[in-house]
Amino acid sequence: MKKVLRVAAREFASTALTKGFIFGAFIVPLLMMGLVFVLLPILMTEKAPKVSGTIAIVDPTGAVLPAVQEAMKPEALLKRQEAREARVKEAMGQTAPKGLATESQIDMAAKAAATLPKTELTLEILDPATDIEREKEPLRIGTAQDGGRLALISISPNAVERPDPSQPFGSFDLFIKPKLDDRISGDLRTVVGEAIFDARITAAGQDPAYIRSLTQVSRPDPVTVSKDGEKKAGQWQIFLPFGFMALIMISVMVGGQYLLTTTIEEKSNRIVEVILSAVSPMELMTGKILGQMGVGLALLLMYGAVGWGSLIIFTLTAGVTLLNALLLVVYFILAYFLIASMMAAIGAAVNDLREAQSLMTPVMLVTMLPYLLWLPISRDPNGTFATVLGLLPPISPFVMVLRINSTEPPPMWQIPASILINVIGVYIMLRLTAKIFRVGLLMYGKPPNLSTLIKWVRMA
Amino acid sequence: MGDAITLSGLRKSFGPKIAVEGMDLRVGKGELVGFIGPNGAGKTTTIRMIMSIIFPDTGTISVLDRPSAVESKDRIGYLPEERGLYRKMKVGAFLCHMAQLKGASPDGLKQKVYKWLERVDLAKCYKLKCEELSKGMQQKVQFLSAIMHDPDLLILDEPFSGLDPVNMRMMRDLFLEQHTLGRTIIFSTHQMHQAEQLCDRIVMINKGQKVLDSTLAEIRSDYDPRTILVEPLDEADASQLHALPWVREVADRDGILEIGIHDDTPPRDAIQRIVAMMPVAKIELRRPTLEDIFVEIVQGEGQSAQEVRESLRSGIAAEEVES
Repeated sequence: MKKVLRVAAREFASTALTKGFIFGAFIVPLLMMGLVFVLLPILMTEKAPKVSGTIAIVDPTGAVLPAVQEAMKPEALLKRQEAREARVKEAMGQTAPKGLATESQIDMAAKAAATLPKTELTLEILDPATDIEREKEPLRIGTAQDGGRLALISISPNAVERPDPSQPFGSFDLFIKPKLDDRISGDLRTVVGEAIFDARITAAGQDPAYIRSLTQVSRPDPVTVSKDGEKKAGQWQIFLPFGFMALIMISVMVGGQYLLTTTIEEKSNRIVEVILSAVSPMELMTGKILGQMGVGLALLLMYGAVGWGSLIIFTLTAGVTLLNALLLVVYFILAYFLIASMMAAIGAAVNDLREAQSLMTPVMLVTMLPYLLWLPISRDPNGTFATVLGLLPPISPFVMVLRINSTEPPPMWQIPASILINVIGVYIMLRLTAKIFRVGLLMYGKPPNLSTLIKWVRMA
Repeated sequence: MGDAITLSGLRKSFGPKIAVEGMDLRVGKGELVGFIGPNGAGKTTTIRMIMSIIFPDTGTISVLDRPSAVESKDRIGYLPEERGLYRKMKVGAFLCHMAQLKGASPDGLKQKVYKWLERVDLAKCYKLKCEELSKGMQQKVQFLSAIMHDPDLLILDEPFSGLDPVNMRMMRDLFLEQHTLGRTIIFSTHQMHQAEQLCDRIVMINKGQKVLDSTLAEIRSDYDPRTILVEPLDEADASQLHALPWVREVADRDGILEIGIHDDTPPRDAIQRIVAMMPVAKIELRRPTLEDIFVEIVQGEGQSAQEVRESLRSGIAAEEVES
């Protein structure tokens, strides 16, 4: 055991205590944190420049113009601006369960709302007989920031009333200056569209406000009702399990990848025979796996801490319990052993990294599957599909992390069951890979294929 | 005194190729034994089996009174033929790591490592990375890693290959010093003259089988000289010698004739007859080298002398290219 720990300590030190690793593992997350906590607020508080200019409109029907004029009045503009800000605030607030929005969140929402462009637009009514092509000319001069004519709206003659009822209604064209804020052009489309809508209703002899009220149904957020009570399912909840899964996936893959490269390195620079004169292949493999597990665990804890910090800031910690965090570590260890033992065997079997690629395909498949399965599992975390996959190593640990952190955690018995199955899986995997590891380490020459590996397992 | 190593009936095959067969060997404690034989003879396979790095198909092994080297790993120092270093590790740290893997106590280990590095003129390299050392320096570090934990048994596979003469001498001194300390040493080489210079006892291996196992003194008395070197005073006619019934073979090496004589002719008579036949500048009875003996033994197994010598030389040539 002492030798195993000695090998593990060297493995950890030679991987985690290097400049490259520290840069990759610490500096990159720091930069990411900097991005989230420093750069994003700065970007958010940066106010959009004020936009002022004229909007030209040609209305051959004469029925649309009054509504557009009404909508473009300063009071109406201000009202829409406020409504938009309110929407942004609501959207920002929605990320947290209702009633949990913090001061900082409200503050951020307000800041985000402030980035909406302030407008000072005047409407320029053109003669219906005017030449549209000529009226486009002012748009060609300069950009939206220079002011002047910002947009040209041309309503179709048959937009409100059609001479032939079998033909569809006409619509309108919107020509804009380059670099016009998309929120302004979007606003114009809405305003004119609604004006045409109202004009058609009026032309049909109905009251637009009445018809509008008839056609509007508000869409409620779904509320999950379970024996634990009721809760509103926020959109963030689908991403949280994914985040957890990605966290263990990254840690497992980093540890596994390092294990692969250090094993290949030991083999290719021929130190391995010297080492084998001091420790048994099993001790070497165990030591190496444990050492790299330390590396993966260090990453898991660090990225986990960063993630936890962000959750606290966005007050999203409600769905995360200590048990979930603990299970995350347990499933990490299981997933790591499954993947790492394969990596060690591959590393021992090949002569260089290039040869490892072809044998890596099954491992890569295992690591890709959970990403592909994320959506189906999140949609139905307790369906047969998810339940079966949750008990099937080697992807079981990843699936279980997805399920445990979803809105509908699996029945309690499935957690110990999956852990037990994975422990058995780890045991079998270690037995098989240890044989390949032992035989492969001293085999040089032609890279083995899958059938050679099977032969080695039988041979050892 | 018991045996350090006992091998009996070892056999190992890799697929259809039989690497070692019928290997019996006893190495007494404190002995210095050389394994010699051409490349691919089975020396490394035998050594790896002694080390329990690979396992024999049949046969038994006892190392330092244990049934397997696994149980006495910490008392063995091993320098494999395929040896490497952790390239990114510092020399001092590497030696400490290896010694601790071999069960050495960490107390005073650093000082010990430093002292040894000083002895091989590498004290300045303590904090250098292994990859920064030259090949010869790396080899010294590798040798140190095999002896750092004061093993009772040293197994060295081609320990001197690729060394320059100065380092070769230094390593040889260290090597002999280990012997005088009473440690059992087995080393393999395909350079027979090295074995001749260093060993008490020679084990010759060819095609996976032991073909000779004797002390150097026994070998010398068993294989009496059968080659006479003649430097003729004038241009000599070698064909005249070929015709003689007691001459086995004649080879002309840059004007020096190597005359092999038949076993039933005493060398004394042969010399007299040659001198009577032609004026000679120099005549000498050559002791058989290990190579000659090896050639003689192997010849009986269907290989011609020329083939055997070539297979030996190809190993040497390959090594020279390497170094």
